[in-house]
Amino acid sequence: MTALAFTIILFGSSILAGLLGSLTGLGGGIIITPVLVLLFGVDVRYAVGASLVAVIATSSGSAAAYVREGFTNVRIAMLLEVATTLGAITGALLAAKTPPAAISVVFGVVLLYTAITSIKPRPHSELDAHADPLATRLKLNSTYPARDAAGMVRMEPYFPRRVPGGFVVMFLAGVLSALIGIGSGIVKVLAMDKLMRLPFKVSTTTSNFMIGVTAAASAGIYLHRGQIDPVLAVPVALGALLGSFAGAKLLPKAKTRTLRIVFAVVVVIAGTQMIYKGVTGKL
Amino acid sequence: MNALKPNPSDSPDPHDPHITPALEKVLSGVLTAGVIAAAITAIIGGALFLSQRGGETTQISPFVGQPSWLTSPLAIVPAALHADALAVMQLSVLILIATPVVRVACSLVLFVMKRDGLYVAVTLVVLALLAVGLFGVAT
Repeated sequence: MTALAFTIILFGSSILAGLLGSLTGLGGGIIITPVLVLLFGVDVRYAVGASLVAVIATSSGSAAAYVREGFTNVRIAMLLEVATTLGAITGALLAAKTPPAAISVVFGVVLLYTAITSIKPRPHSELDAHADPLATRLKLNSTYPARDAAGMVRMEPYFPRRVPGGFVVMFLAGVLSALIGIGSGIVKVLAMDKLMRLPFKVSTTTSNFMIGVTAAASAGIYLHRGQIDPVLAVPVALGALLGSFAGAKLLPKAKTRTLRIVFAVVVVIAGTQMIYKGVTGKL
Repeated sequence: MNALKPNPSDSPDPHDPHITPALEKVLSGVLTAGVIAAAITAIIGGALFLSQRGGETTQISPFVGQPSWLTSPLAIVPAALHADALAVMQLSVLILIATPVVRVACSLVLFVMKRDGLYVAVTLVVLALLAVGLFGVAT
């Protein structure tokens, strides 16, 4: 295959990955590495590097839109970014010591877990009505725009809790993000939604705001280590960016339920293959 | 403990973590500008690369790592200025990585303006960690 043909196919696949990632809300990063490894035969170490770059591109592109809507809690984001960047540096250093086969297996397990959570509808957590002393001292209590029974938008207060627990889970999200080159949005939302009890919209937008910063911390280390091959990273990042923009535009019209099932099936196949390849050493 | 409950009708309180509309514009503007600058650089580098080497056969090589002039931020910029296709492409990657860093730096300005010492410190820690990732840990 010529370099031109290779670039075009890579670019096209990445558009598709970005599109599906944004329509299903799972992010393009989750599928980019498996596509590179399984379909293009790229070494896992290069694939993770390219995927990290694509994660930064798509999260920066969409976070720009979210900041304006008033859902993002900048204090929570900054506080938890201490945990995620610390985790990202740890994960990037860990990645150097981890054999590619093990990374492949970890990736497969994360893919299978993602598929399960994407199909199961998420029960919404009850919001807490009292302020938590630590969250108050850290000035994390805030308000968000919510619709009341009459359909009027007004600012509703919320009170985060279990800040230390959220911090620990965020550290792990950072480690995972750096180890396998994903945004770890699912883990981040889990920490903010389930543990810290933030309103759903606040946790998803704040998480998205943080993803780029987390990935930037580990991408720097990947760059130093020579794991970012521009010939792969550039078409992948551009394609994923284009796909995620198109996804955001199509979202109001798309049948997301059907898409989620289709994507979950793809993710399960990719996850099984990654585990198989890792275990049998066919990398 | 009732004093902790914010009253929606209160005048803007200093603990409000929301950012002002002007700063929201700056923050989202920084992200948009970074992504656009990276995309333009990527397209230029990619076009350069394909025009020079588009006809060559692509070989998916085993992992060998990248040459040193494509791995250090300080080496990528001068090589890109010499219009080396790979370096220009890598420069676009560098701009992408720098975008969230600049965003954090803007948040620092926000917290300084609000005289929020705690979050000035928190933001400085995040910036330091990002600097470690970008310049410090060469393994």
